[in-house]
Amino acid sequence: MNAVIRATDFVHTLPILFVVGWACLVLLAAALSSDERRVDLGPLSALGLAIGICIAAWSWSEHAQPATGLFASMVVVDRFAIFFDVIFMTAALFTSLLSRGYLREHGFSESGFYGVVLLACAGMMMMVHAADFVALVLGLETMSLAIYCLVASWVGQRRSAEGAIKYFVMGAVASAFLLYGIALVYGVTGSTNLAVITRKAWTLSSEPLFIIGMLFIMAALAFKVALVPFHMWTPDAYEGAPTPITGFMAAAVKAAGFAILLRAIGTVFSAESVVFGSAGWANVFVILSALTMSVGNLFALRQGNIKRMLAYSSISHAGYILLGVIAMATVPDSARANATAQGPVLFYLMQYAITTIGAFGIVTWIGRRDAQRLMLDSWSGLASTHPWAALAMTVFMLSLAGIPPTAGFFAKLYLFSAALQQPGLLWVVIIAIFNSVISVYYYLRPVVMMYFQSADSSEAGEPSHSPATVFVLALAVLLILAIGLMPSSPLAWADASVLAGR
Amino acid sequence: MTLVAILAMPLVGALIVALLPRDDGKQARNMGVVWSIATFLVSLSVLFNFDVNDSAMQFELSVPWITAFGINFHVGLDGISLWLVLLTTFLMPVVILSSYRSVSHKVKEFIVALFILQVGMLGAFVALDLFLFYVFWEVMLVPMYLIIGIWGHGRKAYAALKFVLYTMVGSLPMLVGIIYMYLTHGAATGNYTFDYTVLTQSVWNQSAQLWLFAAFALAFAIKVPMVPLHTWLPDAHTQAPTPGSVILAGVLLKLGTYGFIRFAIPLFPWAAASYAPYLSGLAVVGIIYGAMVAYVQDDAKKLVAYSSVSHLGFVMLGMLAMNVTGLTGSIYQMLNHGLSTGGLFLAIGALYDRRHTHLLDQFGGVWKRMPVFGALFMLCLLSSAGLPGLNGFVGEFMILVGTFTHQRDYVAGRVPSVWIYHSRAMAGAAATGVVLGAVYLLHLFQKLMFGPIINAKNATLRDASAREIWAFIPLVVFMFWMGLYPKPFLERIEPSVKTMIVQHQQKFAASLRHVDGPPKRVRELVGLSTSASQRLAMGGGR
Amino acid sequence: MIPTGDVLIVALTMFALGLLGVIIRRNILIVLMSIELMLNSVNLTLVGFARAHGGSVGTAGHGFSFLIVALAAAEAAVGLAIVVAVFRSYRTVNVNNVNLMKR
Repeated sequence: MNAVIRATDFVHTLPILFVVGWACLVLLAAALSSDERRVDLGPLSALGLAIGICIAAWSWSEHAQPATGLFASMVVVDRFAIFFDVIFMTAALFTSLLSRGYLREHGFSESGFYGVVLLACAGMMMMVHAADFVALVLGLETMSLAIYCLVASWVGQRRSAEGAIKYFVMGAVASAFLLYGIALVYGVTGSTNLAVITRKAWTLSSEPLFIIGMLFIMAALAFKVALVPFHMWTPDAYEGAPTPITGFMAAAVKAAGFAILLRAIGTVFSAESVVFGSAGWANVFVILSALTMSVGNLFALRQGNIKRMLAYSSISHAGYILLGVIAMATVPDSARANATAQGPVLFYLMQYAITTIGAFGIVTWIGRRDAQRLMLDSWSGLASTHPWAALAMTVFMLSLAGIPPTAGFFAKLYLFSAALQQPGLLWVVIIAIFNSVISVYYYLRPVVMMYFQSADSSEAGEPSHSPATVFVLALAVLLILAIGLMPSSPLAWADASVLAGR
Repeated sequence: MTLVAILAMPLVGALIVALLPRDDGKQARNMGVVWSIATFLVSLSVLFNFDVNDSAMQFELSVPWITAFGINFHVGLDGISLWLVLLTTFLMPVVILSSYRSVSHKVKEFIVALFILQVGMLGAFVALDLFLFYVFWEVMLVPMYLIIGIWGHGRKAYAALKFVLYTMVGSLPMLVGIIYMYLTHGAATGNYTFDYTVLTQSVWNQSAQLWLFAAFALAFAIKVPMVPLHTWLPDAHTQAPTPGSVILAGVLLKLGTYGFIRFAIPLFPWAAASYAPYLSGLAVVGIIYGAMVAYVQDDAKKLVAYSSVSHLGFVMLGMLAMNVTGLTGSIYQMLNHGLSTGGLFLAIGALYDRRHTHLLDQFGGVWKRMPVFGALFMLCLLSSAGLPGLNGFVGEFMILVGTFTHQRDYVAGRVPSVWIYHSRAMAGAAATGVVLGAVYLLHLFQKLMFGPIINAKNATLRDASAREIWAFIPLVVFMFWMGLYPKPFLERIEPSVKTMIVQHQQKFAASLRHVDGPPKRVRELVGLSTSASQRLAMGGGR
Repeated sequence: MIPTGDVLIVALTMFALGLLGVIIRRNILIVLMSIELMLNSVNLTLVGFARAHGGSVGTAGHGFSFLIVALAAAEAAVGLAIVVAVFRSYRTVNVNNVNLMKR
């Protein structure tokens, strides 16, 4: 173990440090901003995130070989982590741009909002860069605490407070499970370093405390990515949170959870006996995956509130992604199998982040203070009052449903073909296929409302024409179609970003 | 490049129409008619440049698309798809002409949806890459969904959703099948590709074929639609606007039968032969059941919808014989059905525009008020019923002959001998379907057109307008042409069909030796010389 | 010296009690306290293991437990703030009454 901190460590971790610094800057600007000299915080944080994405892109190209042993072996910088950095920062960027009009419309206080979004983003980045459980917990908690605050940030709204307290209690319990699991693993292995644990895990598969610890950690991660039966908080937290934050949670928090799951499963708990043994996690996760996609879809069918519907839809997508995660870990040990199953998960998370932020962006855009339009019924006739919003929403829904030529289709294809390489997963793929059919039903419901029902004139208000909102939505639509039609380069990025062999 | 131009034409058309000034339905319609005629003219170039003696793919173009996955933008055309492409481009102006009265709001969006639908249909007919085919197949879904849902009537949202869900239930297993083929073929040969021309050179083992064929057949059988998967069709047809019905019956259903001919049967010959007795049984059930249900309908549009079930049963029956006559007849009948049923929907749409009902008992004696319309309607009807001299007769006759003479050379020894008689029984039963077809169609005509004018509203009906007549004329011309002088059509279809059957029998022989294990090349399994197999094909046919 | 096993059993008991408290108690403040109990049981486990390992390995465990102490404080701060927000809108700290949204 290398306990020295070198100057180059700071260069390697520049994206994280930059976002943390910029978060402080934004918070400082919020504190200094007064009524006479207002600082426009939304564009400020967006600017920082845009620069951050550029830095991360540079960092990605520099790190063909991962840089390990940074900050006393606490942090690792590899393409896998930087790929996720870009997802988080893009999600945060979109969220900041979408939030501006939303906050003004709904009379929010801007002061802390953007800074906390940036802090959440920094926490996620810390998580995926963690090479040690200590760093992982630090990042996870930074993210979680920031997100709790953001969910509760709608002061005076009952749903916001209710969603926040439910999310907080469940999240805190999940953290406790994670920490307890880490404590047990530390007790058995004598280390919190992922690489060290990975080495020792091969001989520890029969150690009960190690298995229990691992299962505790897995359960906590299952909570973060909202797998059934750890999903109860999702609909309430998603409904209660301010809409742009809901999009941020669905896109970034989910991606962060899966990134950790991939790293944990791909490295730490990848020993064959740990995966397949009688108490191995693969058996459990296969069932969780099937359950998650089915329960998510079945509940989504009967939601009248669009945010709850999308919340359940995000649960079912977690089920699909989990299928890819299992495929990665259980495909017989070969470099190609490992890589071909990780790439799909990365690709899926990337396109899902864009799509889901877009979908919540539409909800953000068309809602107003007096008519939030959260119920599906109030979407009737949207196609004639807001044709562009309706068109964009249709693209997002098609992508979520996995219909070509959208990115969602290709991602699903890529994911399922990875899972099909493992014959034992065939039945889950078939369940996933059935779920895809079911999901078409509820994804088309907003389309039915918008296009097939006549307009309800009482709700036909003009959307707040924030250019930033329009920009984000247009960009999201273009990205989804572009990825769907020409997936070669994003595919190559995802494939180049997979974790090195186990 | 020609095919790319044909695919690009409607796409450009959609863009042009979308960019037209808003709220001007007339402009959009006129633009749509002009552009769709232009598309048709462009598509004629493949007809003139088509090499009659070449049975292979023509106008082929293959461009790498998603290299990481071995996906190519691979398109091509042979005698089987040539006429279907032309049918698609030919029907589009007719469809847009028929929308002048039946589509009154959001006209621009309607034309755009039609053009995008056309891209999907044309793409599916020319795609030679399974992935590309699947993409085009699904691309058709959304515009058709919107056409039914936005411009339909009655329970349109229900019908639209039913259409989408049925199609998805079928197409997703097909997607799994495609991925499975991609993976197993790649693992066996090292060549990971979705390319049809490559994949078709290999055969899968027998049990894999059974599953793969089932996955593909489900998707196609729903689209055809075969009984008992047909229940979406009457709903979709009844609620869809006239142009939607015309395009649905005229082209969309053909994609199901085309999928069988191009993909399901050639890729999995052993499974196709194993399922054929059952599928042809279902086809005959469809013929008779469709005809009988059509007869008892009190809604004219539903009647024609069920007649489609019956007619496409013929198409299925012909192709399952897998000999030259049957398969050629089957392809020919696909064109016929596109023309005649398209014409019937136009006629019923014209009545609906006047009376806003499809119910048979609301009409009667219409001929007295609308003689020109009545004559045109009659022609479409007789064509659909298979009157000699009109196109429907040629196709049905070939199908029946093909089915009857089906020798099952290559099935003999594996299938119980009772199936040898099966095909003759099928042909006989199908022949009664021809009679039933005449019965319900004449019943339809009698109820609508003959008799006294009972309903006073019918006394003031206008005869067909010039625009309506112009929508009918091209259909009628081709009904006569294809009925009286089918040679130009058949001589372009047949070479490809012959080659396909030769290859099919080779692959079948190969499949017999391939019980287990990964997919293998046909050449490795059989050393059959081409001439020997050609003799076999000729013996099996005429 | 107390055997490590006993320390672990006490810690496990604390964790179970905390979890039980979260599940069955209806007062949000008590729920928060139960969560603190769970976090402290983690600390006890860590410290117990750290003592058993000894040396530099032990130091890492002690360090981690300090991080958790800080983390528990941060969680309590945020949690109490949210409780205040809930109390402001609902005028209650009983979780049974905080159920505006569908369950």
